[in-house]
Amino acid sequence: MILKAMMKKRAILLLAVLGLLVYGAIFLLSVQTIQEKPDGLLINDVTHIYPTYVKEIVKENQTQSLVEAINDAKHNRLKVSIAGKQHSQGGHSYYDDAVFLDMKNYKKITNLDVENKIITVQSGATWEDVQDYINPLNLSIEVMQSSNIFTIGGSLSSNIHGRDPNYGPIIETVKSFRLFLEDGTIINVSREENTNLFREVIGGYGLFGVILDVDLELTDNLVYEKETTLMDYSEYPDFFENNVRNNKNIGLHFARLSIVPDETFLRETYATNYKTTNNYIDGIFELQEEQNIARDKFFFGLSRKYDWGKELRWYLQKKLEDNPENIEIVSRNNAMRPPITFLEYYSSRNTDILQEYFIPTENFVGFIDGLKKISQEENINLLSVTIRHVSENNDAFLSYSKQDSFAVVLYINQGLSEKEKDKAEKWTQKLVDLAIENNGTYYLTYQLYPTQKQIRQVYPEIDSFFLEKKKHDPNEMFMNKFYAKYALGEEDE
Amino acid sequence: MNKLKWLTISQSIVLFGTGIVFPFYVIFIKEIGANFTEFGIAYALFALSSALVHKIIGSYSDKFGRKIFLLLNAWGVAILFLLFPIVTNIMQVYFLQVILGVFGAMQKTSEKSIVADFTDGGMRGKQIGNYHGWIAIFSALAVIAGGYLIDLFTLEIIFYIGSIVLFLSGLAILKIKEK
Repeated sequence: MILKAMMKKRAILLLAVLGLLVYGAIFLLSVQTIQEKPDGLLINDVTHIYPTYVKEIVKENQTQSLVEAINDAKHNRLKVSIAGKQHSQGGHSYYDDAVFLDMKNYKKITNLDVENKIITVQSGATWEDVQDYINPLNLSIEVMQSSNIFTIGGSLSSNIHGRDPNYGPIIETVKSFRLFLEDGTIINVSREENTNLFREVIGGYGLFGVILDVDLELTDNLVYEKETTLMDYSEYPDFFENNVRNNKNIGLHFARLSIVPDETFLRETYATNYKTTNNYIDGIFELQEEQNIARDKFFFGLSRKYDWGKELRWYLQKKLEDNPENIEIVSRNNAMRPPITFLEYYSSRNTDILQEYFIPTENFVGFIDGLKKISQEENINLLSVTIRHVSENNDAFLSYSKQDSFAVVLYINQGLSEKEKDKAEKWTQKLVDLAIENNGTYYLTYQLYPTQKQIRQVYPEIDSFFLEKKKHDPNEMFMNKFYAKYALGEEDE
Repeated sequence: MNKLKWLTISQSIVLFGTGIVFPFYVIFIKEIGANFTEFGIAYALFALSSALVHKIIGSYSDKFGRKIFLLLNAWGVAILFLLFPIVTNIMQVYFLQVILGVFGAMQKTSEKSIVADFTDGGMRGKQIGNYHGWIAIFSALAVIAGGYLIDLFTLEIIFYIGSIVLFLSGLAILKIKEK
């Protein structure tokens, strides 16, 4: 009887200990997992290559509260970084333990001068906000990216360019803007007033101050006929010269190269022109929303993983989008908001990145030949290669289109492990060298892969740019990972 | 009363553990990014899965005793609570809700049966009243504590504290003497 009771006691004790062990293990596992899970202060750009913890996130919609937050940061000797949609890919919008200004709520449209076609808009507004506002008045944006999800402030800071071959970078279309400086003042910046800052802030990656609101030139919303021509890549520069350049009828232009790893790889090229037309139906001006997101996401996903997926997507694209037999009539505003949601992708193992190289038009063929060689040697997972044209423009201090150039935009899937990041860094440096050999430049908005030497080769003015920054912001309050790497030599571990 | 002592203590702790979490569960669901329809489905799944197993658990508890099911509930839910902070989408929540429903059924059926086992005729009402009185007090305290904890820390913390409390309640359940 006593023995039995003792055994029962033992059994219960054993159960309790066992329970404690199992439970303890699961508890630790859970706590560990949650610590790895992105929490509120962990900031990532769209690529997740440079995860960074910030001190505080400020999300204001009033100028006054924004100014107070920055003054507080200054008082507490904290760094400040400025972010829009965070599609810059080299930590341009954040910095370790900084106050992170999320500008997305600062997005009012404060004025529209219809007669002079000038809109005044706060920097956190997106192109979509602007399009929604101006479309009923039949106005359109002059220069913006291929997609409308980006903020105006972010676009200025990267001095973006678009697909309208009649323009160079966005700086051409900026009238003026208000800038909040480190010393607490707000100044007007234009081509007449504070002219140096005009050149430095546009394409200045948020290093000089906070862009508050911007006066942007608009143009008329026209109707285009989309027309696609198939050619070999070697014929493309001539095609552009003869059909697109100085052709005022063409409102938008881009080309797409095959990424299918067969004989068409970086050879087969589709050039698409949007030509003005008067031949259209009612309702053409109504803004369209993205359709078939799930379908496109699926096929894009296949092409990310498999060569046959790349082939399938290229085939479908030919059939559905770029079929020379299809004539598509579309308004400028709708052509300037093509689908992008389907590209949204998150995996802890790999990520999609962008890179862009600006190559003088006469060196285009040589660059593509080199690109072909490097992508095959390095096994780069190219998901798309598209071409746009950017006219020569030296307005911005860090100008990337110092000559008339083709912008070669690469969409690439890369791994996120340290080994894969190192690989990507290595082949990026090869591509930058290739651009340098061809007298071209690379876009500073993307990863921090290029070396200190390369950035100085491509942008010899970069050190004087950093000196200018120090002049306006002696304590380096406005800070980001791009500046930290290339001005201060900080390496991301 | 003596018979009910460890039952009362253990189940008060159980209710304290779950009471810390459930009133704030809706905020958690919102943070996952779900809407109220999905929230409704999550709760319905819980009720449905317990509906399906109540009967079976009832008869098994006649066979194997109630205590083991009370223990399974306490430790099972303790472990499930550790999973909640790491879920990332509503499908995972649905899955957890289904299992929670099974454990919930274990607790409800076994608790009622064991209370019936431990009480008899004339005094039963008074004893059950006393038992529920204690449990209700702990539930109330739990809700206050839960809110306080969220304000002070993060939403996740209530799952961890709830989980620890539930695990401890299992140790108290081990003290129950069924026969």
